[in-house]
Amino acid sequence: MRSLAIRIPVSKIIALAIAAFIAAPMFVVIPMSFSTAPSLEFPPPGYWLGYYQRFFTDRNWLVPLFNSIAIGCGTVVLTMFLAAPAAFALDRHQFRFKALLNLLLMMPLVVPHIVMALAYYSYFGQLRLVQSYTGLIVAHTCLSIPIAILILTAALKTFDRNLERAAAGLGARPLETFLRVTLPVLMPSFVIAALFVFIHSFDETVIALFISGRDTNTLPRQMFNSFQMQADPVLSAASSVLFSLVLIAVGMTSVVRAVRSRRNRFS
Amino acid sequence: MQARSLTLKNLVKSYDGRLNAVDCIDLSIQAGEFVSFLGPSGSGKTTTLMMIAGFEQPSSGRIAMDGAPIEQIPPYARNIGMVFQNYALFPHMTVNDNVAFPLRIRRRAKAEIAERVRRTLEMVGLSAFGTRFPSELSGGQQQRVALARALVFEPGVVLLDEPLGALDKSLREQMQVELKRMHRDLGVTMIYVTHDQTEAMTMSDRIAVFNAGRIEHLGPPTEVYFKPRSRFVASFIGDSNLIEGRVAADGMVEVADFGQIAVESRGLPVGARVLLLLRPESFEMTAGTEASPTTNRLQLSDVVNYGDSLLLIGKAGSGRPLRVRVPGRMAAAFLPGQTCGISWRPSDVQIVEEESRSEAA
Amino acid sequence: MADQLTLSAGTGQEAAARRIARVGAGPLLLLPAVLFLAVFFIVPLLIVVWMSFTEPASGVGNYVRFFSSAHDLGILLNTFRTSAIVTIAALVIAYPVAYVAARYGGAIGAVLLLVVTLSFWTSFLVRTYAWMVILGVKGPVAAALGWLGFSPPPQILFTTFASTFAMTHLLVPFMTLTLYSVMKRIDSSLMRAASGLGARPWRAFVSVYLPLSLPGVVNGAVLVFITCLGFYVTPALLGSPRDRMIAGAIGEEIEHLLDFGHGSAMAMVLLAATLALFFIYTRFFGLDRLWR
Repeated sequence: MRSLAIRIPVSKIIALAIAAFIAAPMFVVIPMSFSTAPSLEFPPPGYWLGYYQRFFTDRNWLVPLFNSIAIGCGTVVLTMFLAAPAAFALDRHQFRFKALLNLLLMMPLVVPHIVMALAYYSYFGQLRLVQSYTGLIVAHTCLSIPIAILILTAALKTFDRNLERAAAGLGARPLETFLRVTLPVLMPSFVIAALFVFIHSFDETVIALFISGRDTNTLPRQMFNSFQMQADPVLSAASSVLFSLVLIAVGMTSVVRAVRSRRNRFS
Repeated sequence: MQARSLTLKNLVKSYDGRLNAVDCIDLSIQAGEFVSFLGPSGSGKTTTLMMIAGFEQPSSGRIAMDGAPIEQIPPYARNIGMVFQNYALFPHMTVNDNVAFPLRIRRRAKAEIAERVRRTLEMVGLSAFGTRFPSELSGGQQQRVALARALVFEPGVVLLDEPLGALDKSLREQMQVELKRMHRDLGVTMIYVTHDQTEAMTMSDRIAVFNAGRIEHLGPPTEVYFKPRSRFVASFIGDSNLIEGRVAADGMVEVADFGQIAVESRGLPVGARVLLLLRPESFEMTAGTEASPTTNRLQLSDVVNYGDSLLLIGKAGSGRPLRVRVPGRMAAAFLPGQTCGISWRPSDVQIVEEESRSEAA
Repeated sequence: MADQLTLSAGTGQEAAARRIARVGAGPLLLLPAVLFLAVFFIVPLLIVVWMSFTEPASGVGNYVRFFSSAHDLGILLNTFRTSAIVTIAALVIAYPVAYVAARYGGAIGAVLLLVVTLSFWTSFLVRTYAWMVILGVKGPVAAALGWLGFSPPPQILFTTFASTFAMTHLLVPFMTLTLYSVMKRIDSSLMRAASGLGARPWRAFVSVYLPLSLPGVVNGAVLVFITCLGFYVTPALLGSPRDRMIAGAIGEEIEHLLDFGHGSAMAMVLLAATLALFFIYTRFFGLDRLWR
């Protein structure tokens, strides 16, 4: 790497090439979603919106889409109610067994989904929660709790405790301080956490494959089964829709972060 | 605004049961006074402030406001204004909302809130900034909003924790003057924590000098400066020459490598060890260089020119280090290596520490 | 006109607050999440453990069967081997990206991180599908191979190569982000100091940067390896049915073979391997603080 001689270091070129490699697949899938060909053909012979139309009108796709959205929303609500207090406890309080409990809360990130799928299949089977929204929401919540806690504790670490002391000194009781100062200032992080919990639930494939039924079919399950059965180009449209969700989420995160750093700027 | 008095009695704060961050503080602040807590980092001044505000619980001792004990009362019920070092302005609220916050908490009428906010912002000179957000303001402006917010609900005591630390020099000096003016106009009791002795000297009615959890001197700035009660206070404030010697006779102290120094009569026993303070600026230059109880010679090793003053560093007598300050316009007269004559008045010599009579050999 | 808040605080709220402070608000806030996971996460796992020892008959039969079956051991071995290959490949590919992003920052760093983050959050399913398209019979790779003279183009899809390749691609973003988080803490002036002392760029890199980035390498490698062990989606869609990974085998038990005892035992083996690696990782992660 004789970077002293060349103006653009070789390492940068290599890195960009690899980044192109990483991004490449989406540059295939997205154009293909507009393709006129009835099968997986690349490059596409022509372009139209037909497959998107089919995706958003075909019951076979709309029902799973709706299910995934509903389960995602349910997961977000349940997860945030469980994870938010936990994040505060981990960031602000000291107590016995804290390290151990922290480990327990992070466990779902480590256990392979297939193991949980097997576990839930038996467990929910006994509780008769298979093929129901509840079962999937519960399972997804377990998986999402660590994610929400990680995002929230990161936000809490950068939270200026003096804001709460100032509010107290100005006469606000603890509940007032929480509602008027702590919550509003932390709101962007709550939104980001909720967003990523939603995406995580929306995208979750393995567990959904085994414990969702025909009526509670999720979008990933439908896609997975379609992959195996026929190569339907509607799948490109479905994939692009999923991808755009991520695009929106990551975009929103950058916006929120920019707004927050502008707010806290001390000029 | 009804200013309140504050009393601290035997205040102790210990974090680990062994080392006392605050070690038996006794302090009585009168209503309307401006008192500075001055000291190096870790001296306990901020901890004491936090206990007054209610953010730290004393390990033992009492805090009373206007005679009524407050150490059990939570911070939101103490009605004490506080300005933080990093201002702690609510980033999601405008300047108006920040300043209105304590009034809204107290459920005042809308019209009253609007009027008070307007008046207070005018007092700090930020009338035009009401609708801005804190992130759109400069450091000095944010500081003034923090001050407005702490004053708008007319507290009896205002606490300030190194509020000017983040500002640059000229802005800081400007704010010092404004703060002092506001104190005069409002008459509220102010407690000001700082590590900057100039700030403490220029703004306070009294200074409490903190060291290792204790107050080593409590008194008006002139007293703290000219008659410090301990070695630490003498060396922490201003430039100093600290000279150890023995009492030779009443009004006379013998100093090794130097000679004799005439001091004011104090009735000290002969032979007692004392610590003397001679501020560098209390010397006068003389023509003669002979040694006497009020004169001696100084062999210059360094001359530092500050513009408005000149610092002469050298050895006096037969080798004792000494620092002397003279007006800057005399710069041409002094060069390193020269020997010159110095004189002092006995009344300028401060006896900082003395052996107790029972210890005197 | 002084504002007077009553100097005595409301007794009800105060007494309650003092009671909570004694119990400790911390455990109370943590309780819902912990209870939830205990009931809906730990218990199901324990059921799997239980099943592995009781279905279809009590005892360690399932484990004996597993460890004496060449087929099963083959699957396990294949899983470890594939994971190792994927981890090493992902490391080699991700390192330059993380390096440039951490070392140079700025616009190029932002672009790299954006691409990596977007890819990281895109589901495995969508990215696997993308590779199905690309590696498929009518895809661009086949077209390129045909153009190069291979007619008919060799089948790439549904091979071990496709599965391994796709998994590598899927895990590169994860590896990159892990490496980056460690690398960005490496003081940039260290490299400049090295070159100021006379070291050529490559030498400075090998002697200074590489060792300092090692904690990140270990972190990334362990995390990627663990993830790869449990991979289901990609091998199922892209891989050859003859070269199974253990997750796929477990899935087969659930769906078709319905041998829950066997499946549970396999799940336990997978879980044990995962947890063992994870605990080794946490202990090493503690050691790497020597660098801080």
